Amino acid sequence: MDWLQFLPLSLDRISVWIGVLCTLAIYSLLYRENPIYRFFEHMYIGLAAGYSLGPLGVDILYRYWIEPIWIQGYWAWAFVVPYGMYLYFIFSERYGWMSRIVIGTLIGASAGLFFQEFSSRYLPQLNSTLQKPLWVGSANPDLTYGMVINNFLFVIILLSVLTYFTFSYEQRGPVKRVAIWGRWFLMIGLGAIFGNTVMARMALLIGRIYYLLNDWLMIRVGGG
Amino acid sequence: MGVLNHLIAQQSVWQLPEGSRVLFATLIVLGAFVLFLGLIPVLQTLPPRGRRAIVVIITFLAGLFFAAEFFLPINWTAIFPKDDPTRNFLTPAIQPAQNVLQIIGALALGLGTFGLVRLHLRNVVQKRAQWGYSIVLLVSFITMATFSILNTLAEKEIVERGPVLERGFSILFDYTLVQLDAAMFSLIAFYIFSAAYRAFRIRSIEASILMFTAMLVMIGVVPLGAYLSYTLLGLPEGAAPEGANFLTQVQHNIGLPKIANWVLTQLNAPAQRAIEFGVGIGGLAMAIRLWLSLERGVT
Repeated sequence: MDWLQFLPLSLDRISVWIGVLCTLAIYSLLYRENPIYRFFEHMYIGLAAGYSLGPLGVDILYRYWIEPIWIQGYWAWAFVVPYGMYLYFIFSERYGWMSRIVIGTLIGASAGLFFQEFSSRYLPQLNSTLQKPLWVGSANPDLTYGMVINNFLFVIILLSVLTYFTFSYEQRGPVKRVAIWGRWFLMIGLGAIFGNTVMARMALLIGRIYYLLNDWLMIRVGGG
Repeated sequence: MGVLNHLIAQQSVWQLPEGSRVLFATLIVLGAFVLFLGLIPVLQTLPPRGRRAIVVIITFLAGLFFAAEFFLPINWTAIFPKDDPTRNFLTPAIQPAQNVLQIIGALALGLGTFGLVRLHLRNVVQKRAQWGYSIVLLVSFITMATFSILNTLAEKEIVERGPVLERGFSILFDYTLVQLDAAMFSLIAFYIFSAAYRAFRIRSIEASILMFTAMLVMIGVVPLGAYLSYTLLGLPEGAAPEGANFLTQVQHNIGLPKIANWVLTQLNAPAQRAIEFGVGIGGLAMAIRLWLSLERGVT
């Protein structure tokens, strides 16, 4: 190993060593809770909170408030920030209720926007489910028996899971049996999500190990 | 409605003259702050019922605006023959209304940040337990906030992007925050296995189905699944040739990657869709309750 290249003697290497220090400090939790982990955990929260002020605070205020007023000259925007500042009354016991006016605006708008979301997100899904062909006929010449079986499965699983989630009345007899099947199908779905989550986390872990080996220890691994 | 459209279309009413725009804009902003400060004692004189009524009315109007824009038919040419047939009279105001929400959202972010800083400043001032970590948080917050804001302003060419800003932001963001972020989330990889082990110990049909599916998906989506199926067992890869007999078709479709894909697309998708329908209907009910201020504790 070329020690001069490995040691943190240049700005680039110092940057890599900082990254390694952060990674190892976080992984130290695997041994047990310790002061080094707590230090970097607090640093992480501080950095994340500080970073958000740039793109999510200043950028938005500049783009939607400062630029329209001072550069484009649309004066009506002047009232938005003073109105929004009422949010900060939340910390006052006496004036706290005024923050609810702004919170109410956000809540009301979110509720109104949900109608739109429901229609654009859920109705097309319902539509596509109802349009699934369940038999081979002249109307669907390209349909194979395999596709028909899959479509039947799709509808059966959907209905049985929906039955499981119906709590408006007591599930008894055949309904209960369908609901039990629904629960099992739900477990298949949750298992698939669990498997995917594990693989996503493993990909992150592999990324970290790759960083430690490739960037820090300069051991070339993998292709390319 | 026609007046509203007319006002929106009349740029001169809404736009300040170019000559002394900065001065007028500053005066109007100051005036707006004074107006809203002046409103505080007026609002404070309201009795509790009046205060609640204001919150309820504003919540309702905010929701009504977006709901009405969505539900009203877009083609108003029967009533307003000169209007654009692809919109209704509220559509032009949608983008500005969403921008207002963005601004209030940005202010709400400041609120959260203020709460965090206030809590940790209190820890330090009152020297509560482990207050040293609060100093770490505050120092890293102030440093990153400075560099992040300067970097945002540099992107807009308001301040100059010098080497200190460039290198400092790169170290703080690329080599510290991104690394901590990735390490923190990859940490879950270790704990997820202990969670799986605990789930396995619960010997029920549900836990067994869950773990079997998870294993199938995990092995199926990585090269191990393909190796086991196509190299070790020698199953044929790819789609079955046209006109192949039933046995050949089965052989082409029982490889682990194929089964994992089938589980994901044919068994998982309807279960997910059913969950989504439940979430959607629940969300709709909650949206109506919030909009009409029927939900307790909000207004």
